[in-house]
Amino acid sequence: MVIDIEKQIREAEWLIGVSKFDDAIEALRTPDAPNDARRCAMLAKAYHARGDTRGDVYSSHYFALRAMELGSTDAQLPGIAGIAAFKKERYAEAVKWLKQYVREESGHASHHLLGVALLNNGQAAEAIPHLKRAVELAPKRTDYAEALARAESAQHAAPRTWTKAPHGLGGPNDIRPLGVPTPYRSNAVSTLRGIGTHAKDHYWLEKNIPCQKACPAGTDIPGYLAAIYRGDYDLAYKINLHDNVFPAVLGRVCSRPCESECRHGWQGLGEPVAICFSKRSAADFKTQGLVVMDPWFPKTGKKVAVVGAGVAGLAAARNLALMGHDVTVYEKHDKPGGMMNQGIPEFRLPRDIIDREIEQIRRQGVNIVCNAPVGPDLPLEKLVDENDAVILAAGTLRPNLLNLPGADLQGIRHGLAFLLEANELRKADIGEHIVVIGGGFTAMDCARTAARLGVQTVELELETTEKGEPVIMKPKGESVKVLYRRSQAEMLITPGELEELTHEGIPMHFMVSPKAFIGDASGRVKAMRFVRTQLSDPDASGRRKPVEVAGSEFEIPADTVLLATGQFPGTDWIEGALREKLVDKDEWLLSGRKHHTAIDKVFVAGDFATGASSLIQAIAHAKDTARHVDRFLMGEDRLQDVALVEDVQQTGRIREMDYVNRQPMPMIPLERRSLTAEVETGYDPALATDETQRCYLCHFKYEIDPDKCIYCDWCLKAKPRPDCIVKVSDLIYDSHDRIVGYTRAKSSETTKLIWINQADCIRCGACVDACPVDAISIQRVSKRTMRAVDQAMTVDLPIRFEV
Amino acid sequence: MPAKPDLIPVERDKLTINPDFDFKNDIAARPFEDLRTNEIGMFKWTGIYHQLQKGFFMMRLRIPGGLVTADQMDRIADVAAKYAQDQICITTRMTVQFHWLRKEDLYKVLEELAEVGLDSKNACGDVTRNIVTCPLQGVCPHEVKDVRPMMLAIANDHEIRDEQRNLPRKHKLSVNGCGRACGQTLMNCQSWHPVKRTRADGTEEIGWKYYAGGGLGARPYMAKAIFEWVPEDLVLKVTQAATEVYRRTGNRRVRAWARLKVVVDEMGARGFGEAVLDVMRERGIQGLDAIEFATKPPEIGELFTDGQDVIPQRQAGFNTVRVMILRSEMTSAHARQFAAWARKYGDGSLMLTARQNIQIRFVPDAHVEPLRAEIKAAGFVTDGHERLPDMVACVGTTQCNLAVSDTPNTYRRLYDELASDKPFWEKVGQLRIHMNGCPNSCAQHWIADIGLRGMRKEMPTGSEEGFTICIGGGLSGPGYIGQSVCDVPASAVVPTVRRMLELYLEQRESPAETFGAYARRIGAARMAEMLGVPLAPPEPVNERNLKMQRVFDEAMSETSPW
Repeated sequence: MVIDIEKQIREAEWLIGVSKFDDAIEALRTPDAPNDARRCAMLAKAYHARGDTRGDVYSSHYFALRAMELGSTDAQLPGIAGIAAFKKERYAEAVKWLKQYVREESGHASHHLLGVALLNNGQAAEAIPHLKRAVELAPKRTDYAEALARAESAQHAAPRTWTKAPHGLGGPNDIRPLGVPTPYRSNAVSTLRGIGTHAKDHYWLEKNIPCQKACPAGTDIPGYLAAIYRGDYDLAYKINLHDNVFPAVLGRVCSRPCESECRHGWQGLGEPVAICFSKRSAADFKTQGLVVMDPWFPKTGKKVAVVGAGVAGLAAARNLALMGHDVTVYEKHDKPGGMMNQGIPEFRLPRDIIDREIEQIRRQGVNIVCNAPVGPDLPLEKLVDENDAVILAAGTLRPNLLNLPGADLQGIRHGLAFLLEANELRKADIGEHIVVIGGGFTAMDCARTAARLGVQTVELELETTEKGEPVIMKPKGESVKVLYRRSQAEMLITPGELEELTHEGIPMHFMVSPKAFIGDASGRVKAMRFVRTQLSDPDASGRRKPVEVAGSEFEIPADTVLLATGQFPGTDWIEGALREKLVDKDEWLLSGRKHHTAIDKVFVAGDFATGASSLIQAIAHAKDTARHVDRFLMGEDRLQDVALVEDVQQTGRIREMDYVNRQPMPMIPLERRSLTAEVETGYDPALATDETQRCYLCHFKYEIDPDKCIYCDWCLKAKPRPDCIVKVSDLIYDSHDRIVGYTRAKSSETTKLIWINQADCIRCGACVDACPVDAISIQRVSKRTMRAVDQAMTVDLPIRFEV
Repeated sequence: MPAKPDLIPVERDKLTINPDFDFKNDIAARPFEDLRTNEIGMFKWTGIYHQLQKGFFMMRLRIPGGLVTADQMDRIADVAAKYAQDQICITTRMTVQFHWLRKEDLYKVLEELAEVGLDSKNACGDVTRNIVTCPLQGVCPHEVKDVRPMMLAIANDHEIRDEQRNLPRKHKLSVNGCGRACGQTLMNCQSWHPVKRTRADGTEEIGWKYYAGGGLGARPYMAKAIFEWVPEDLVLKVTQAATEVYRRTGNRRVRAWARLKVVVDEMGARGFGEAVLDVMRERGIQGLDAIEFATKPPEIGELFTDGQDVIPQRQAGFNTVRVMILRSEMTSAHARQFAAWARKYGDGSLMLTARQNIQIRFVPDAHVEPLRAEIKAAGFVTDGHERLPDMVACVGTTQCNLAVSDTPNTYRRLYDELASDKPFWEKVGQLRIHMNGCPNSCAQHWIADIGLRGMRKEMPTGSEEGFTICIGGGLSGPGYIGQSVCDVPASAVVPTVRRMLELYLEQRESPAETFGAYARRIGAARMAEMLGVPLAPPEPVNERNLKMQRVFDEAMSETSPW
C-alpha cells in the first residue's frame, strides 16, 4: 500500500491549527507506524501544542529528537526539544537545543527563553546578552526586566524540601490527636478529632447529612439506621428517643420530610431510604420495656407548668424534666396525647403505642394531670403565679368552618370532632353519604375512617391551589403565598397516603371549589354544591391561580359533610389581664411563632404557636421552647449543639448495598381492614436490615490528607460519581471560612488538591480502598447536643458527656 | 434482598471477556473508539497495556528467566524498528517491553515474535507473570544446581500458565540458584531456591526451600519461609497447589488487598503451608511427609554480584560480561549490537537482568578483553554495577498511565550529576538507587538502598512533581522495606541524595558498612533530622512553567518551520 504522507502531514497540520491534537496524532499514525522524519516532526508539534497533559512534554521531546535523527531539518524542532528540556529543568540540554533554535534575528521571547535557560544552568554571564536583547525588543515586558535583573545579581536558588503540617489529617488507620485544630483551611471541619463548634463544622453537618437537616427535630438518622442494620434496635430506639420523643408513633405517622432530601433519592441514585418505616422497626423490635433516659442535669428545684398534653406539651415537658425541672402538664381531656389520640385513627396508630411512649414520659418524672382544663376552675394566672415558668401548648382545637350558604344546616361537622368520636367510641352517627372537604391529614383520616364505618359513599373534595395541592391551614401573620409553599415542601399528608386512599376505593376530586351546602326541608344537609376550577394563565408573577369555570357547578348528594378545612389555636380559655398581653383580636397569639411571649415566664410550644403543622414540627418547636425555658430559668445556655468528630477505620458498607431496592411496607389486605386493625404491619427484622443497609451513612466524612496525597489519581479512577472526587485549583471560602465551592483544575500543573467533594460523595469507600498511600481518612461527624460545661473535657471520647 | 457481594468490574471482565483476542481480524480492524475500556483492560493477558499517549500501546514479553538468543534479540530489534519507534525497554522482571505500538500492528508484532519462539502471553494481567531467576542462572559459581530446568518447568506448566488465568491479582514467582539475594527471593509471591544437606549416611542430597507472601506494590511485604525442605519432585506440585490456594482465597473485592502476600500474611507461614498441603492431599499427591515446614524466619545471603563487570563462570574458562543499559533504554541498533557480540564472543545467548542491564554469557577467557574493548568503543557503560550509576527506574510519566513523576528525567539528573563523579561513588561503594513514578513499585523502590517514589505536592499554585525518598531497603537477611525520610521536589532529589551519601561517608563505622547497613542502623528519622531544616521554597517549577507558557508560545511562533 502506498501511503500518502503528504496528505497525512497536511491533514495533521490543519488539525493542530484547530487544536484537534488527538485527531492530528491519529491522522499521523494512520495507516502505518510513523517511522519517517516528517511525521515524527509533526508528532512532536502535536504533542508540544497540546502541551499540558501528562506525557506530552516527554512525547514532544522524544519525537523532536527522533525526527532530527531521521533527518528532519524543521527549524522548530530544536525549539520544541529545548522547551521540553526546560520544562523538565534539564537546563544544560535546554541550552543545547535553544542555542540551535535562537538566532540573532529571533524575536524577544526566543532570546528571553534562551537567556533564562542559560541563567538557570548557572551561565549568568552568557545569559545577560540574550536577556538584554529581549528587553530591548519588548521594553514593556516586566518579566523580561525581572529576569535580566536576576541574571545581573546572579543569585542562585537553593534546593528545597517540603515540610509537613505538625498534625496531618492522616489516613484510615491513624488515630488523630484529640482536640487539635485541623492543619489546613481546606479541611472540612475545624478539629482533627473531638468537638467542633466552628461555623464550618455546623455547615458540614447541614450540607452533608441532608436527612438530619430536613428533620425538624434534627434526629440522628444515619446513626439509628446504622444501629438497625447491625440489629441493635435498643440503641436505634435510644438515638431516636433523644431527639424525637415519640419514636414508635413517628415511625408510623411521620410526615417524613427527611426522605425527600435523602441522598439516595438524588437524580440517578435510586429511591430515598425508607427512613420512617425503618425507624418503626427499632421501636417494634427493641428489647427494653419502657425506656427512661438518664437525666441531663441534677434537680434544679424549678417548677414548670405545661398547658396541654399533646405532642408539643409532652415533648417540652420531657426535655424540661431531663434538664432537672419539676414539670406538671395540665390536660383538659381525660387522657393525654392530643392530636395523636384525637386526630389519628387507630388503624394508622394503635393506641397502646401512644400510651407506652407517654408512660415513658411519665417515668421520666413528668406529672400529667388529666381532666384539668385551664379556665375558670384553674386560671392561667394561678399557674403563672405558682410556677417558675408556664408553657402554653394547647394545640389547635378551634375548627375552621366554611363560611358558605347553608353553613348552619344539620349534618355539617368538623372533621376532628368526628375523628375524636370515631376513635373513642369506634362508631359515629354520620349518615350514609359523606363528603369530606379539605386536604391534609385530617381529610385523609376522615375519609378512611368514614369508609370503615360502613357508609355508602365517601367523597373527598380537595380544595386546590393553583398546582393542585391540598390547601392547608393559614397560621397567623402569614400570607397565603408563603403557606402554599410550605405545604408543597412538607406535603402535609403522609407520603403514600393518597395512593392508599385510591387503594381503599375512596374517590377524590381535584380542582373543585365548594360553593354551598344544600339543605332539605328538615334543615339537614342533603347535598353539597361545587364549582369546577381551572388554572388561569400565569399572572405577572408567573403564578397560576384556580379560577372558577363558568357553568360548571354541580352537586354531590350528602347527608353528612365533614369539614377538614383546618383548625386554629383556640385561645378563649386565656382570660383576664393575661389575655390582653398574650392574645390578639383575631384569637391568635400576639407572639406569633415565637417560643416566648410578652410575659417573661410564659412560653409557647407547638401548633399553639405555629398553627397546625406536623407532629415532628410540633416536637421540634417544643424542644426549642424547652431550651428557651431552661435558659430563662437558669440564666445560661446549659446545652450546646456541636459536631462530634470521631475516627473510624471502616463504615461497614459495601458498594453493592447501593443497588438494593427500597423495601415496600407490608400491609394487611383490604378485606381485613377495619377501624382498629393497623393497616401497615411494619418491616420484619430481615426487611429492616435490607432497607437500612441502603443508607449511605452520610455522617461519614471521607477526606484526603493533602500531605499524604501523591496525586496518583487512583481514587479518581475508582470513584463512582463524576464529581465526587475532583482535581481543584482552588477552594472557595466564605467569610466564615466555610468551603462553599471549588474551581476545577485545568491541568496537572494547576492541580492543587485532589479533593473529595462531600456534596457528591456517596460514602462508598472505593477511594479508601484504592488509595495506595493511605491518605484518605474516614471520620464520623455527628450532630450532638451536649452540656456546655462538658466541652472542656477532651480526655476521652465520646458519648459519655453527650446529653 | 440483602446486599450480596457481587463481582467488581475487573472480576466480571475476567469471567466474561476471553483474554485471547484475535488481534488481527478483530482488534486491528475496529476503530480505536470502538474498543471498550474493559476490553483494553483484558489486553494485559497478552502483555499489552494502553500507554499514556492515547492510541499507542505498550507490549511486554514473557521471557522466563530473562534468557534470549541472539536471533531472538535481533527479532526484538526488528520489531522495535518497525513498530515501536526504535525503543526497547528492559524491565525489572527480566524481559523487554515495547512502546508506541499501534493497535493495527499488535498482531504483526505477535506473529513476528512467535517466529523466533517469543510470546507475551501472561506477561501482564491477573496471572502468573514472567518468572525471574538470578541473573547468573546456570553459570554462577555459587549456584547449588542449575535451576533453569525447574524454572522452565514451572513457567511452562500447563496448569499454571494456561489454566490459572483468573487469579485474584498478579502473581509473581522467582526461582533462585542459591540462598543469596540475587534472585529477589523475598519480594516475590512464591520463591524457590535449592538447598543441599548431608544425609545420615554422609551422602549429600538436594532439595528446595520455599518462600511465599512477598510482594511490593503500594503495600510491601517480605516473603515468609514456608517449607524448609521440599523434595525436588514436589516443587512443581507445591507451586501448583499454592497457586490454587491463592485462586481460592485471594481477596477479589478490593484490588489493593488481592495479592498473595495478603493471603500469606493473614494465614501466617504455617497456615499457608498447611493450606498448600491440604490442596495437595485433595489432589492425591503422595510423599507429603517429606516436606518439612520452615521454623525460622528467612535469612537470605548478600548479593553475589558486587561491582564486577566480568564474572568468571562456574564453567571453567568462561565468563559472563555485564553491560549497563542506562535507564534500560535500548535502540534497535543497540540490540543488534548485543546480538552480534553474543554470537561473536559468547554462546549466542543474552541475559536480561532485573537491574535492567544485559549480560553476554559464555565468553571464553580469551575473548573477554576484545569484547570489553568493543563494548567500551561502542559507548556502553560497564563501570559501576551495584554502585551509584547502576540505577533502576520505570518509565514514569513519560509513557505510563499510572505514574505521577518523570522518573527517567530524575534518573538522568542523578546520572549526569553524580555518576560523573567517579571518585565519590567509588568511595560510597555498594549502592542501589531505584526510582518509581507511582506507588506500584515496578522499579522496586522499597527494596533499594535509596528508593524514590513519585508524588506531587500541593503548592501555593497547583502542585509540583516530587519524590518521597526512602532508605534502607534490601532483600538480604530477613528483608528490609525502605523507610521514608522526606518528600522533596524533583529538583531537590540530586542535592538530597548527595547530602545523604556525604553523611554516610562521614558517619559510617567502616568502609565495610554499606550505605544500606548504615541507613538501617541510623534509621530514617535520624536521617531526616540530619538533612537539616528545609529551606523555604523559591518559585515551584509548576508555577514557573505556568508563567513561562506565554514565552514558550511566543518563542515557538517566532520561528517558522522552514
